[in-house]
Amino acid sequence: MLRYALSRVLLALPLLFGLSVLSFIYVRLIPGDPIVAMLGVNGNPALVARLREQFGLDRPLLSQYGEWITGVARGDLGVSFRSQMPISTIIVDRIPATLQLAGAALLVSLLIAIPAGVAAGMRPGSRLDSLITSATLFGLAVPAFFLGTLLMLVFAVNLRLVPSQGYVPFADDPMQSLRLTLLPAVTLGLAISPYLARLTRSAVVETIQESFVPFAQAKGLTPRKISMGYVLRNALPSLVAALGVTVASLIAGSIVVEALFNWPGMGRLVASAVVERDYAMIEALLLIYGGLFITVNLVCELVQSVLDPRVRLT
Amino acid sequence: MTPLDETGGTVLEVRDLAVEFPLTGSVVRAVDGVDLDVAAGEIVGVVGESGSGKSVTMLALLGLVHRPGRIVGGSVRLRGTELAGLGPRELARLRGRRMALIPSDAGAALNPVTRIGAQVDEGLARHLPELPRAERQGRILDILRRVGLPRPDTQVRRYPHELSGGMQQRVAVAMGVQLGPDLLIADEPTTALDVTIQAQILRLLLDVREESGTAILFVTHDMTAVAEICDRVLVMYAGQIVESGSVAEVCAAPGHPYTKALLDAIPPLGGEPPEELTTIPGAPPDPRAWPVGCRFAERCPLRRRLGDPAECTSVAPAMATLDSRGSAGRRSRCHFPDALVEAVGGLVR
Repeated sequence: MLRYALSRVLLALPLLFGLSVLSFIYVRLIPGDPIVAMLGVNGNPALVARLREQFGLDRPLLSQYGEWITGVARGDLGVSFRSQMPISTIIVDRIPATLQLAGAALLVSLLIAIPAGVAAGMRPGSRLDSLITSATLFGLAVPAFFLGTLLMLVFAVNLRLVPSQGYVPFADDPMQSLRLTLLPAVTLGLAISPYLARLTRSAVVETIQESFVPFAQAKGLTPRKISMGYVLRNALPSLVAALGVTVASLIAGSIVVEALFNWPGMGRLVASAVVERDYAMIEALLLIYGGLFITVNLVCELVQSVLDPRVRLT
Repeated sequence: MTPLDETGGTVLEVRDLAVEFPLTGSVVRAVDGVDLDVAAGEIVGVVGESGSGKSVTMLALLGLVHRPGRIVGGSVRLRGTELAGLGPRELARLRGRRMALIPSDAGAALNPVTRIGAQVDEGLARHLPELPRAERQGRILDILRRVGLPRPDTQVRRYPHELSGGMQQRVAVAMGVQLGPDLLIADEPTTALDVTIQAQILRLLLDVREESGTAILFVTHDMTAVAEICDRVLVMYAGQIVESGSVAEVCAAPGHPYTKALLDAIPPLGGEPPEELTTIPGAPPDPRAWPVGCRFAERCPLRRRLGDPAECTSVAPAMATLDSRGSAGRRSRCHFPDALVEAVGGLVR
């Protein structure tokens, strides 16, 4: 088990290295360079030269990368081109709000997608299955910004049940913080649940076709025992893997939803960094999101190996 | 626990069983009018090609024909209880306890994420809930020892994939026999195994019969295994039983051309290897539209030999007693069983 975990971690290292190189190169591939892109072609040449020197963009690529990556290793992500503030500080400030929304959205989507996916997968081809499958297709087709606007109009503007937007730290006012989380979390949760529901359904469909299901029936086990102990238990490792993949849609969705609900998380940081052409920030965010995705999936793989004794062999 | 009057006699009585699978635009009648009886302590072989309906028949006995297939007619009585009249809960209570299954591929039939001991325990916990946990542990080790699993106390903590194929199959046998069922359905229990382990499993089935008087339906396409352990044999073709009788009689003088062809397909042991293994020409008929006459007519060497009599293709043969030879219960679904006897020896192709 320990050896398996170690080998997975070691495999993730080259992936992280590749990610850092890509994030680094991406910013430097911009025509001209980031400073020109930021200030425009008609920017003051003296200012361009000064900023270039200040951010080290005039030095050889290899030494730039070396300096950047050693900084990253120490937790220093560089300085924002725009605000001149340390990027690490800006991002750390955003973490509580980001996690609060992501966690709540994940909870919402799990509550919707797992029961729906299981119900559809247990009886593939049934009327319930067709209904759920069409619903997920519909859910995939509706963009998050549309859904969010709709929810905001109905529940905040017309019914006045919850505030329409904003953020209060949980520690300052827990009730108000949760009320404010509700709409963005439901929007984001609904946006990612179709993916999760489909992955759940296919994991369950695959499992009910295994020949241990009829054998369990032949042993006289109760339908409840068979669906919990056999079908769900065997589909669980695939569900965990599906959850890891879903993080990608969670990240993508959060950029839209945070902007819509004026939520001060990392998603909005991405949007503003792109609009402001803050390439140092974009570089850092690429690295962090990529690293997050790799780490979450690594954890999911390890959990999967705990859940499925056969995985540890391979 | 078992009343005295249930220790002998007929365990299973099946009459006119029919199973259908609806397809888009047509219906497959996979099992069509199967009659069979199994007495306590009797081992009955069920042979036939893949697709002949053996496995579906066995699933139907357990009430486990998978959707959209369903039992469309007939009666299945276990110790006199009509199973068709039972609800799913009552049926589930009989499964595993009164009638049990040994699957063909134990490696796939065992739950891959559950330890062996816990899996054997599931059946006990389900059917004997009043038994204390500690006592169940003892019974698990005991049954695993009885099926010849080496070091059962360490095996119970292992997962199915950590066991060899032979050990997995023995665990499956243990699960099948642990509650001393009246009827044991062994669905090709040895096909996935090598010869020495096959012999051990067959030996095990004989022991189970000896110890608990269990009636066993032994499904296989291995005629040699049938000859080794079965008392009687049923031959299935195209969803029907085409011949039944004692193993010795059926092997010595088959009463149906299909049985004859099956027996001819076994390569002789020792002596000159045959130039070419005998095969049955052609393929079974389309199950969506069974032929009007005999279902084997299209492939039948006897029919060709007899100059293609009209009955073969126009009249469906009934399961008729072969009075001329053998004991009662010797039956064949052929219009010309006597012609077959005369032709034995020169019928190949």
